[in-house]
Amino acid sequence: MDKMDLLCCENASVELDMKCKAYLDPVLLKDDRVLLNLLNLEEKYMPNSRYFSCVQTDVEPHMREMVAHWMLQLCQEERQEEEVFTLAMNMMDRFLSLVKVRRDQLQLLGTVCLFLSSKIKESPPLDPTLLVQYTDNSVTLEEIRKWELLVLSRLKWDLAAITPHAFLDQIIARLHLSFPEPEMRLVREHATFFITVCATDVRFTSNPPSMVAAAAVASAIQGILPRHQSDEEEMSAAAAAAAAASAPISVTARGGLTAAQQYMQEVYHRLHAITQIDTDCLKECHRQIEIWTQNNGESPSTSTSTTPTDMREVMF
Amino acid sequence: MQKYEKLEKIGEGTYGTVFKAKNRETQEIVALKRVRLDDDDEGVPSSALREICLLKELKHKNIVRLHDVLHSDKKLTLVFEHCDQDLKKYFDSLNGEIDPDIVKSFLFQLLRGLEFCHSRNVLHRDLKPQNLLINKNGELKLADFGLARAFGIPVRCYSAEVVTLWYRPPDVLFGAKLYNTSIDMWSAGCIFAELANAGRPLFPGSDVDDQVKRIFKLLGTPTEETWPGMNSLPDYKTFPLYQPTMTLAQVCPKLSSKGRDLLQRLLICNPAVRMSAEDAMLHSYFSDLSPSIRNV
Repeated sequence: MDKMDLLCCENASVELDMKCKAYLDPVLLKDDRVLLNLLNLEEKYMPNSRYFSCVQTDVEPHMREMVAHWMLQLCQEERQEEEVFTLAMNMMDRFLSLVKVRRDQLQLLGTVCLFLSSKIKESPPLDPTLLVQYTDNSVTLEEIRKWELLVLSRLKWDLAAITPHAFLDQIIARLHLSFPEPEMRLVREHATFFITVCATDVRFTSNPPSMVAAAAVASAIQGILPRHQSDEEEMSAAAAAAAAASAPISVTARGGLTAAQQYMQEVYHRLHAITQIDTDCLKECHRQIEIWTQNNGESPSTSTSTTPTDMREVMF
Repeated sequence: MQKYEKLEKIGEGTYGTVFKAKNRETQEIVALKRVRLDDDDEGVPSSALREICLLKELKHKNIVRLHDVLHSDKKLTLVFEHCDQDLKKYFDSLNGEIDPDIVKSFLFQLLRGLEFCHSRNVLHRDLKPQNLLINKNGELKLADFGLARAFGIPVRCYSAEVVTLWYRPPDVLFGAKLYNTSIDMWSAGCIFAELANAGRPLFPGSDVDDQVKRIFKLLGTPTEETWPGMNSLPDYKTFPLYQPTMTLAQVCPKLSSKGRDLLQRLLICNPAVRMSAEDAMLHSYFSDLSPSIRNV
């Protein structure tokens, strides 16, 4: 019944459902090998995070950011899957790790990466004529065709990169959170938003996708907590209930920690157990996301409305 | 194309012509799938792109191996390992008789290939005898991943072209756009029955309605109780409440009782209860499977 209510009043949720994604599949989520395979594979698809100092001479970090925002806006206007943008950024970073390009070629590269990414993740893919229009005719169809093969051959056709999105449901399912359904949706939506944010910012390229996903989930949960915080006891109860859901964790009052802090410690503990990523690295990545949201206006968690549409407005 | 000597045309794939060819250096026989890159603006077809980047990840003995991708401005050539024939052609050569051990071996290999795909987040979505290749050593390999997708790729606009009608599960026939690994398991069940009957298709429907009718007549029409959510599928239609008139023993007379039990668990209309590849491989039907097949 909750779900129906959501569908009726939240346009964003309707859109999500209309997109006809494969539903959560117990075969894929319960099986730890899927997560292990993702963790083993992710490194293979990571860019060289030092390419601005090692490879590129003309292109600078702020140009990547500009092109990234242009690409993101295009994806949003064309209602592409969130992963289209993230995957395109991965292709672009990997290409820039290998090939020196001129600054006037960067938008062409971004265009081609979007084109390729939409072929993998969307159906139908983005129309190349439309892409040319988005560039104000600064790239041609012929260039897109040529660069498509160039990017494919330099990336050795390895396009099915693991992005943070692939880890999202895997991580959330294993956290055994005890939030009610609407808030679980929020956690997922906010985490997706943070993953997108991280892809626009060059400082996150050195983090493996699993770490970005885990930190994004931590940020999203932290943003949800104040809603429960009005009643500290309720928080402790929530933490305890969450702990009970997956056995061996005790949430006892520790000196000087609020219930929310305790809850987050527990979350970190579990994120580490799930991803095997060092807790300090996770916290640092989480901190970077918090810094980003502080520097770029309000974060989705403090905004009064919490639909993804509003989150988009935060970005621009 | 100096590296390979073309020998003969094998057939037409979903997006290009397939040739048998020989590697001039190693004498290895391969299958070349040629994709023309026409002057249209779409560039590399997305089905080819998906097949390439998914198959590069799926290195497994029961999945056809993609050796290499060669490209020029005008065309793209995918170099695959060569298999002697597909299961469809194999059926045609049988004259209605098949060794039960071969049925068991082929099904096990099909499940093992599927289980590997599913553990790598990949759905095949288009399983049929034509897409299962077999070689002289009795090995079976999944091929044609042009419709396959990594988990998470949306399926809108695809539903119409997904899975040849005969191997399509009832949930997809009712327009379910939300589907998962269970889609492949239904197809595996249909292929299992076809194997056991030496190539006679289980549900050779002529259109969607006929397809659903054939399924319900054999298995009984599901109810909202046996399949919660069925009524709310986009293309759901009411069918008469058929009671099963034939048992699986009559439909697949040569299949052992254990085999029938496994088949029953794969052919479950409600996708949520359909058996997974991993569980199917552990079924007692395979307890006497020859170690040479299990441990290959």
